[in-house]
Amino acid sequence: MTKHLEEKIHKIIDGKLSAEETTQIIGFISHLTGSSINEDEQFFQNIAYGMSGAIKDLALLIIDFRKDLRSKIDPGLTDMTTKYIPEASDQLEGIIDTTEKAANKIMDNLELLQEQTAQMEKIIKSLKSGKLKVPADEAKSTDVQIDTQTIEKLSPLFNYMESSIKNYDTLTTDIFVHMSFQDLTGQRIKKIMILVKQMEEKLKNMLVCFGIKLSTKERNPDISNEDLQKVVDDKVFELAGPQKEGNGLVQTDIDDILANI
Amino acid sequence: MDLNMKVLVVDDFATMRRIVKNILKQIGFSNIIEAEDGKSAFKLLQNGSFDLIMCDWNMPEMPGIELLTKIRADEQLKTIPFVMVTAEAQKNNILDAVKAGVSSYIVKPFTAETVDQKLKKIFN
Repeated sequence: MTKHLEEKIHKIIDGKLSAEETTQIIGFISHLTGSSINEDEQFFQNIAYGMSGAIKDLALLIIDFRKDLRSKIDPGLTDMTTKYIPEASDQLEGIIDTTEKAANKIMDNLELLQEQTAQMEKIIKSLKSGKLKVPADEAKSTDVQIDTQTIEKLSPLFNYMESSIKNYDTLTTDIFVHMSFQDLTGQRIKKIMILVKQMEEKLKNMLVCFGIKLSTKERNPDISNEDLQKVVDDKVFELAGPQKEGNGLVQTDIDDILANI
Repeated sequence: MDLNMKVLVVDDFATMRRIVKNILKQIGFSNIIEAEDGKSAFKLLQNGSFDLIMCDWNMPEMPGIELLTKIRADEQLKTIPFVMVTAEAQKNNILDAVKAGVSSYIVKPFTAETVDQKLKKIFN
């Protein structure tokens, strides 16, 4: 059965895979189906036919990779890892900065309003007691006496003004409280940023491992898997370095790796 | 409620500290100190006599719950009223805070009235 499958695979991909690569594909299919290829011929044939398209894609992928290693490290993946995800992280951080600046500006203006309404309250109080001290410019302020009759006539107006000032106070305090949107959105954005950075790390490591493995294997086809992994580990350690604890690889490191493939 | 009391506002977001400070000022407090994380807050508490702490939960270095636990374990600081002001609104968070000895719990977003009511409940 194995021989039958080998022939089938050779036919599908025009014999462009090596014997070892074909054996690996057979092993992969056997693992997926969970059956012994030698015992269940009919079952296996059905599976094989069904998977012939997938096998062809897989084989072509291996062939293409052998032809041009550098261009086949998916440019999309490289871009995603070295450009788009870091950009996304920067953009998110930018949102926090922008909203913080806007919130602070709004609160600056609100505090000015609160000071002004506090002044207005003082003026109304002094008017009601029959005196008027004109603020704005303390050096030029004058005491103005108001007679009791006038105060009585103006009393409804004073009351209305006092009530309005209280409303302004309530509204400005309310707006102040709602500036907490910056804190609430900021916390959520920080959580997303942590996730984005973790994704960036994992993708970078994947890219590095894959690139190093391919280039090392090409230079030294007989290298064992253990030695290959050691090369990857040494390179990753060298690039990470103690001075970059937790920070992972930067753009220039990735570029160096790609240049060496 | 003594409006001359010394209040410590702890939050890693400057905007939030400003909001809480403004509300406290509207209520009538004037002696308000800020800290941006639990660690620096604990240092300030050890060096000064504070009468009230308003603290966020999610902070780097030392989260609010950790600061609360540390304060309650300190002989000099354990009686200071501690109000958690946080977006964490799950039941288990509230239970954890109560177990750790929180005096009151305010969930963001909050109103000035809520803060006023909670503080009056603590001090009256």
